[in-house]
Amino acid sequence: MLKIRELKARVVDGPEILKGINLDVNAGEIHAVMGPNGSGKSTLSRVLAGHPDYEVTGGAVTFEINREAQDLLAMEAHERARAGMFLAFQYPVEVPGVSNTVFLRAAFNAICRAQGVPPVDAFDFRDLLTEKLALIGMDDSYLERPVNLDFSGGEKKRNEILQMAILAPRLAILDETDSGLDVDSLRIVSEGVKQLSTPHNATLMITHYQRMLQYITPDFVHVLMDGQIVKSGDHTLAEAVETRGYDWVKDAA
Amino acid sequence: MKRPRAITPDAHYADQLSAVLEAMAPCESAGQLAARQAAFDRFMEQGIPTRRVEAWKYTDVTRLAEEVFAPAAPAPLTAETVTGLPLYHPEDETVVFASGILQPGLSRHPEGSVLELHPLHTMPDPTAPVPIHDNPFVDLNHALWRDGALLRLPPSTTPAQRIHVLFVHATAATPTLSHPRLLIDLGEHATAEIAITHVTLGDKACFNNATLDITLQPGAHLELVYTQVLNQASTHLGTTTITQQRDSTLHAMDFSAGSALARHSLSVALAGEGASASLDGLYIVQGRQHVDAHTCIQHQQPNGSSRQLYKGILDDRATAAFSGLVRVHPGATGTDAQQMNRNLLLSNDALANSKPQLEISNDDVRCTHGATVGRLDDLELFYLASRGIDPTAARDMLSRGFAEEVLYRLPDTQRHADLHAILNRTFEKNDDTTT
Repeated sequence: MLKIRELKARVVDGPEILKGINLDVNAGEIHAVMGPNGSGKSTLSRVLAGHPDYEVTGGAVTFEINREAQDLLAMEAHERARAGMFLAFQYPVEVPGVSNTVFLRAAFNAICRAQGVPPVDAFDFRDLLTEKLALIGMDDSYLERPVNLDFSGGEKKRNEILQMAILAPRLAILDETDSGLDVDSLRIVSEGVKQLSTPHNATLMITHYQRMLQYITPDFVHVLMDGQIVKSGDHTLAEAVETRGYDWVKDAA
Repeated sequence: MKRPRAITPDAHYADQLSAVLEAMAPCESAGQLAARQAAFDRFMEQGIPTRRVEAWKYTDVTRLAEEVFAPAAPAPLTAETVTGLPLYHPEDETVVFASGILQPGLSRHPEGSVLELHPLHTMPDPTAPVPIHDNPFVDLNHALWRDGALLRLPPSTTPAQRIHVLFVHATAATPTLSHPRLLIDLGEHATAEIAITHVTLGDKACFNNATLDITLQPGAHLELVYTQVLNQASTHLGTTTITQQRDSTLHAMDFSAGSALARHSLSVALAGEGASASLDGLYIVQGRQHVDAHTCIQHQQPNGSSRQLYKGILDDRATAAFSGLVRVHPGATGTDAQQMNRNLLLSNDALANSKPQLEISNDDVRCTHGATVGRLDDLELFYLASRGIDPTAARDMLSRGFAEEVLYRLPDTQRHADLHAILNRTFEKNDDTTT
């Protein structure tokens, strides 16, 4: 579904952060990308989502749309979302004055239209929202609040998962979704992600710690260091990193 | 040669005065007619201010000295037209003016309503001029007004319905000039929700020079919605003067979306102890529109509070100016005053000026003020894009969100929806985001 080849990228006019990433993600797979601070984890997720602060300096990324590999890097950020990509932000953005309902419905309908599905009216959408809210343990009052404004850290992360539940992406990229979460929120968010995982979609979890991996067992674990994937393996690699630290991976590599 | 501070108005203004004096002679007292002449003399003496006058620094009105306007004649207005106008709701108590002339047939005064409506011609001396030294247009209004009304609520009353005063300005091939004049007096502990709406019929130019004088007697409460949606060829100069007595409270929504040039001067005198005024403003300009929001809050007595949040959205080559003066008089101890102006620029060619001003003459006060001019946040735009929302829709949604931070302060949900409807017409229509 996603093929990354020798991807190099940097913050616009900054030093290179990604120094040749290679990664394949197929439908039905859950991948975890781990790495120490500054290794380029978040850069990878942002570059894939089309963040304007970053520029690609080399390599290629293709994303399968209707069984055809498309050049992901040539697509605008909103086109990537419409093609089924979703980024759960490490720091979800506050959008003053825009209610969650208005925001979610606009996103949902934009994606539906792009994928040839008729948009839903406000009432049907409300039903969908109510159903998905239960998944992340939030009540209706949250819907009329402005997006992420005055939300606690946990609420912001839950909100990302709610959006993911509603937009039903084929590829979900979770950028340190487990950081800054209390134990309850971590469990709810992890359960949500697990429930949303199907044989038809894929999940790419970017994480510093192993916290979320206690709830979700990844099929593949990759260790990212200094802009390159230095080691890949199954879920036992995450455990090894947790006990032995990143230096062990560096030495082993 | 230095530019003069004022320009002599065109002779047609004098012709208009003669016409008004002649027309009013049968129904007005000699004193009233003399007051008109005196106001006109003050207007001529001051002339039309140029941008060298501080209060007019950002707004050039000199073309009003040269341009020739015809007095506005009320065009035939039907009930069907009135019901389609912004903010109109059939259940409201509605007072309709067509080009400044009261239209009893189109107004709705429910039986048993506590609201008193007094035509200004029948008032002994309606002018009772409040000298505003840097605003000759008030004098022009007091000289040339054709019709007007005093709305009065007796003490301790609350009208069963909202009140809506609708000023409809029909335009014609020749630019027209009208001077709407309205006085509102809320008796002790009276409470009311009043909307004042200025709207045009037709797309030709008109010059609309309005005055509004409001008095809140002790303990009165007013919820005011002032809306200006004239067509894009018109000029609106509005001067609103509010005097608040002891413990009275005011919440005003000052909304401006129309006119080629619009200036609303809103002055509030907290003349009694413990009075509080809360002003929310929203102006939206595009194309080559210019808007000037000019506020002045006078804290004259102790323990008063005022807050202002004025926000502006500017697109294309539009320009805006906010000047807000908060003056705390020596005896006004325990004053709490806040003022904030925020501007959102949607284009590189738009220009916003902001001039917040505090003049504090005692130590026992709490005053804050601030101003910002900014663009849409790149990170917010990316967040929306990452959810599939295209750049145009994202821009509209964020702009609407920026406006909503002011509009949500309207306690009346129907009025909130009314202003949103105007906002939605202003932005590009998009089914996704207009809910």
